[in-house]
Amino acid sequence: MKQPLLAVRNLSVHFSSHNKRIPAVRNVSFNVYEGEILGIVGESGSGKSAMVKALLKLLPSHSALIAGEAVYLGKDLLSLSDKELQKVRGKEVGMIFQDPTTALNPTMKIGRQIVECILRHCPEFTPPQARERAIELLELVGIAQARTRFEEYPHTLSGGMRQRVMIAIALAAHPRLIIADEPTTALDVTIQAQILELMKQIQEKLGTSILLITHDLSVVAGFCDRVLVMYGGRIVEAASVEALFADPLHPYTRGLLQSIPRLDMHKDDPLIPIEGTPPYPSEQSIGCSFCERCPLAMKICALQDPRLVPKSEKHYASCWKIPPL
Amino acid sequence: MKKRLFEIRNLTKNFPSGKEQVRALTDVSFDIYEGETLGLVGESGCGKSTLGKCLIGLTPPTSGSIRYEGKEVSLLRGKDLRAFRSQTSLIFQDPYSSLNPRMTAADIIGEPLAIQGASKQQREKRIEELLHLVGLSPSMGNRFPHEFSGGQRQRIGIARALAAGPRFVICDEPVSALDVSVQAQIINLLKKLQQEMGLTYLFIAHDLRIVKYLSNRVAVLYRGEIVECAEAEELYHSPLHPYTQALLSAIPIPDPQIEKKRRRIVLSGEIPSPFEILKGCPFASRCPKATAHCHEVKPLMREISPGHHAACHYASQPLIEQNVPVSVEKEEITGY
Repeated sequence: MKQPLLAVRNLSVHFSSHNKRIPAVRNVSFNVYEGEILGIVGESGSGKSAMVKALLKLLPSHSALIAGEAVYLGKDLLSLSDKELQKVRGKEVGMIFQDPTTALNPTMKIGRQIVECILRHCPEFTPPQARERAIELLELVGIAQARTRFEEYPHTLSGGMRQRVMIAIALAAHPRLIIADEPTTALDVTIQAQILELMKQIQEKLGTSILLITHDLSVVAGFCDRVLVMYGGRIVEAASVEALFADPLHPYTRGLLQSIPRLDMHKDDPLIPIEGTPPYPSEQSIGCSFCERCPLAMKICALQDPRLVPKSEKHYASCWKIPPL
Repeated sequence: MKKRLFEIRNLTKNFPSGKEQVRALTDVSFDIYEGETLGLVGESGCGKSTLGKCLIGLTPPTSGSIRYEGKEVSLLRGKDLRAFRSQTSLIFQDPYSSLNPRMTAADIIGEPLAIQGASKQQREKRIEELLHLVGLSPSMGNRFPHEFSGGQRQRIGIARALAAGPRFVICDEPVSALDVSVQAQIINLLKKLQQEMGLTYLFIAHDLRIVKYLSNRVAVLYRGEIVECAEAEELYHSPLHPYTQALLSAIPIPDPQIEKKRRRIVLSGEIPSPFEILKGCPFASRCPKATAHCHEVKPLMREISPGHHAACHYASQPLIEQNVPVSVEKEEITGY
């Protein structure tokens, strides 16, 4: 059995607001293996961003309560001090955010933003070496005339170009894991294809593991090796990408697949929506978070939360309707 | 013969920006027929929303002509203008910012009726009908927007758009701000309303899957110019313009088996600056098949096959081998 690069165990995130504790992520466990692309799919409010931000303690410390373990190569990220964490962020784990416009510093030339990251995390580099390395990185992410672009400010670049710069920064210190939080949501579909293609090439070339967060199941189909589907702060299904699309087990995953119009669909084919709306995180539910919208809900669904159980070796789901292996 | 509702000819819209002009729309010509859904697709900033706003007179065009039932929209005055305004309507993208937070749902929906001069009783009756029509319960009328979810708010926006009894509705990205699992509810509602009320839609979206599902015809906009226009099935099966081909090949398909076999046309190059006046084809800077001719001479919109128009010098030849697998034989998918 392969050793996981990152093993997350019983991770919970609560936000305190007006003296109430609002659960955003509820008791989530998963592994990320070396060299794989793991997709995390969920709607807004499903807890996917809160979950990965909690891993690097990027949530505001005064309001976010984090419990559980996240073991990265033998050390628990959640018990590290701030100082120790700074050695992990950017160096061991790179981050790509959704909106490259707000994530880059508008007052710094893009080259310097990459150099800053290299000098911070790789003390063996001298400033001129770091500069050369930054230019190499810009070339690696497909920016033409990297030497000239090095001197430019973020506002002179297009959205796709800025996202490439973000990727260059994330790669600067050779991380073994990159967390990409909706990296293509703010981009147009042709640019999205370019960026995903680039991330895939980099993953193949450097063997970096990627954690891709997205709300679009179709992006996952072409890009990821394994997928976690999240709903209401819980993982409802975890599977290899082939297994998930060939045989979706959880009613939510099935509903989602039926409600997306497909290109090979005829105009008169019905689109079957999931009725109702996603739950607010503040609504405490003791049972399955999907039971109110679920066409198959039974009595037990509202009373007890189903555990994530294996249906086969590579396919887990949390639903009372699914008989365990 | 289908009846033309809108005739748009050589529509150009420039916005002044400092000493320069942002060229939002250049020489756009097309028709909208009664009862159809015309899909309008393109990347952000290509002029989709500006085109919609020009059509219903929310922003005056710089030059060109927009005719509604044969009458020039910019020349409408008085009674004709009021009639035009009640017959055209708009559904906005963001259901959070497009509803007044200090008005109740019933007041929001009733405002167009009040402007038309309906009495209080007529209004109340109509508001109840409209709420029911969009799938909300009439008792929700006295709630405020913040008490509704995103999908419910979009339903209120739709009810407001339909209040004055329009014939033509512009849907400007009506589902892109909604949760994925809620989008299908609104798509189905829009489809149902069109069938019941015989509405004509201009459906603006960047999600090509939704556009294909809802539209009879589709126009592709690139940097303010229409590059291709055809029946939806035809356009998705045999796209002629290289931009449309790239756009279609970039759509992710929720099926790992198809995705593995698929080859994408990955574009390089940048979209030309919106300030520039282009001599040649707007897509030449990113087109994999562009020649010197493309940079020099602007291709005109031509009818390549019946009903299929494209603006490309080389559109009659198969430019790029067909690798868009929308026509892949659908294997029986088991499990759902």
